[in-house]
Amino acid sequence: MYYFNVNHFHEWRCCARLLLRAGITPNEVEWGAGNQHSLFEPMANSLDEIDGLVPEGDQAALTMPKDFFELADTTACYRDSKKWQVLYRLAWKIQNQSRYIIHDLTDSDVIAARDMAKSVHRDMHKMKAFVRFNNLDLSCLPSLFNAEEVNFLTRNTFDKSASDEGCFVAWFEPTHLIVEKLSPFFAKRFTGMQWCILTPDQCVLWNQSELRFAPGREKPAALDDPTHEMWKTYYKNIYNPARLKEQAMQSEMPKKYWKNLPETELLTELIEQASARTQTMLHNQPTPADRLSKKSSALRSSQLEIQKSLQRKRREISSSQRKT
Amino acid sequence: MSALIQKLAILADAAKYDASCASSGTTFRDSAKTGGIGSSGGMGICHSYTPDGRCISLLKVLLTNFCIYECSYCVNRASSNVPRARFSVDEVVKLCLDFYKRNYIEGLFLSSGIIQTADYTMEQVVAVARKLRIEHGFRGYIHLKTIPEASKDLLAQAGLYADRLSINVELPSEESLQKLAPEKSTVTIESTMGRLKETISERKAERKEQRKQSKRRTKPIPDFSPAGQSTQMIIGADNSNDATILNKSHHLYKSFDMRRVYYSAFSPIPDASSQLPLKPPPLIREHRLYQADWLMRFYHFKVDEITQTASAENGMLDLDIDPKFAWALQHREYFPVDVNRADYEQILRIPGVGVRTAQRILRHRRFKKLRIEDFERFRIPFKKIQYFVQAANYSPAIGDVSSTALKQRWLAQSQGSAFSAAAQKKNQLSLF
Repeated sequence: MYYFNVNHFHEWRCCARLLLRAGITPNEVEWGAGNQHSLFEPMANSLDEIDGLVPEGDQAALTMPKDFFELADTTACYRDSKKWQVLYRLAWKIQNQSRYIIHDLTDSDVIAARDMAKSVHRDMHKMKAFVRFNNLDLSCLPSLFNAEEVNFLTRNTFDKSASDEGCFVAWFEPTHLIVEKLSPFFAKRFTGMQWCILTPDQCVLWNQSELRFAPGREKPAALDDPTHEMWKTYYKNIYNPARLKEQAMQSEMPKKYWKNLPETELLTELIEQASARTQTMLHNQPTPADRLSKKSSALRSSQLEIQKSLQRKRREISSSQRKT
Repeated sequence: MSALIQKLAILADAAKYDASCASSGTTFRDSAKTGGIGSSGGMGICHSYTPDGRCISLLKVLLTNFCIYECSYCVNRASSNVPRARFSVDEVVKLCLDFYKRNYIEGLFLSSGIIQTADYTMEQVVAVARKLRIEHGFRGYIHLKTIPEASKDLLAQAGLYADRLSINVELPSEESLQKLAPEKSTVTIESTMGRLKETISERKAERKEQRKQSKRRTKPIPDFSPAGQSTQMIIGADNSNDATILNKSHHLYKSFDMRRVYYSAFSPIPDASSQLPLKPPPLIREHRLYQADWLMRFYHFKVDEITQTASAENGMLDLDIDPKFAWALQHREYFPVDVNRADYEQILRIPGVGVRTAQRILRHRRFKKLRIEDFERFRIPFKKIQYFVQAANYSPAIGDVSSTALKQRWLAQSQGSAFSAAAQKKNQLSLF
């Protein structure tokens, strides 16, 4: 029984390559992550020993279909370490059964891997949507980062004036380990800003030209930004109380993200008021159509008069200017 | 700051009746080379959701809700007594950038009431977009509502800076438009839509040609409204039936390359005119119209096939069941469809089978014959498809079940699950 501790896709790849070459079946391997300990006494868990098991002269390249790598790369971001076992079984099947096993949707490992990848994709989409930056003054940075990190952030090479607008800091709690995979998206979108995303697993910093990763940390004290008030005002006013559909809202914006979104404070109040507001609109006396059209034609004629007098004034001014 | 907040409150409230919120379908671009702000392309992103189930993807505001027009259904019409406000161009630009930088939005959706003249208003709207693109290097999404009465020149400028342009067709029939929106005219609206269509497709063709030919560094031809144009129709403000509405949509899609037609259930507005119905918005009707719209666009249905299912008396779609199921019940002779032999179009007609499932069926077929159990994995309940599908180990029972009986059974089942959904809804909203 072999036991491996891997934390990253490329680590897994190295081990898997060797294991496949040595012909070790999935049942003989156990995968773990971080500080987990195996239930079994590890028989051999050094790569050199496995290397010794590879048959002599077996230098044939181990190739896997591109689809497998795309699937594996995403599945590797899943939080639970059962992913490594599933991926190894799949790799084993590709080598020993069918190269196209990824497309067989009845295979249990394919289903497991695809479900994990789907979950990761969904998490990435939600992270793109729900990361919220807060604009902080540069003086707040030392309380969140060590000296080296602060130095990195403020060392902007692109646009000097951008440093006037401070730094944008976000706190997020992703379900899976997607920070590294998603960082290029944020770098390409917010290129001209200094920003950082803090999560419990890993943090990423951007100083307008380079990305840097740092260890995860705890949630910082409330990140205040006066623009929250503008955002909450917008949120309150953009929705139509006559069309209340809480379930639809909750299915797309799961409750687990609510604690880090400023607008969710307003939700209970908005929903309670919704029916009252709609009933008011329904019960108000409708205004008769002809009274409205009289009012509007009165408005229109007064507008036309104002326009005419403005034009007259402009003509007078320009003719007097010409005279002088 | 508080004056700006008040303006935002008024002008966001005024903009809520515009259903469009898409931020997708435009060219892929980002700020990696420019060092500016903004990226777009691919799937749109919904940054938040409001209790009406709608997503917030764009900053949707009016430049001003003062208006000289008198459209009865509109909360901003000249005679309405809603509080009025007006943003300056700089205020909108700053608001958009502030929100974008905090990742609250994908971009801007800007509309406006008509003040002074159509041209003057359009100039202001275009000025916002120009400032964002040119002065601030903004590469996010911009959707501008265009005023059909504005000059061609202004329309041309708008297309340079916007990802999408739209003109609301408002009402499905010419006479309703005359009655409820006397300043608007179908002729002007449709001729502007036609002009937009021409410019959009010509520009796309020119750019394609340029990409194919030029290997030297020639200046690229600029985009014109790369995400096309869309429009909106109000449902339930007049007495047009669903058949009229669907025929109008079909005309819009075919003649103007419309990307989307939005259907907006008429919501009661404050200080409403007595010409308008005073009842809650017809949400189910709107839902069925969207389903019918999807059938036309993605399921290869002809508009006649859908309108045929509408009630012969009043031309309205069945509210109890979706239009595809309604069609299947009227065309039993088409079924059962053999999922292992049928082509894509035929598989799309099976009730309960959506576009994604149809594609999965085709992919799966290459490796194994489909069996009836596989539908469980596609999340399609057996009870819905049992009379419409034939698989490797299954054929529907020969005994006839009438369409009426099928409909009753389906309704009975849906009600059963609706009760449990309502029970779940009783749970209080708790934030933690």
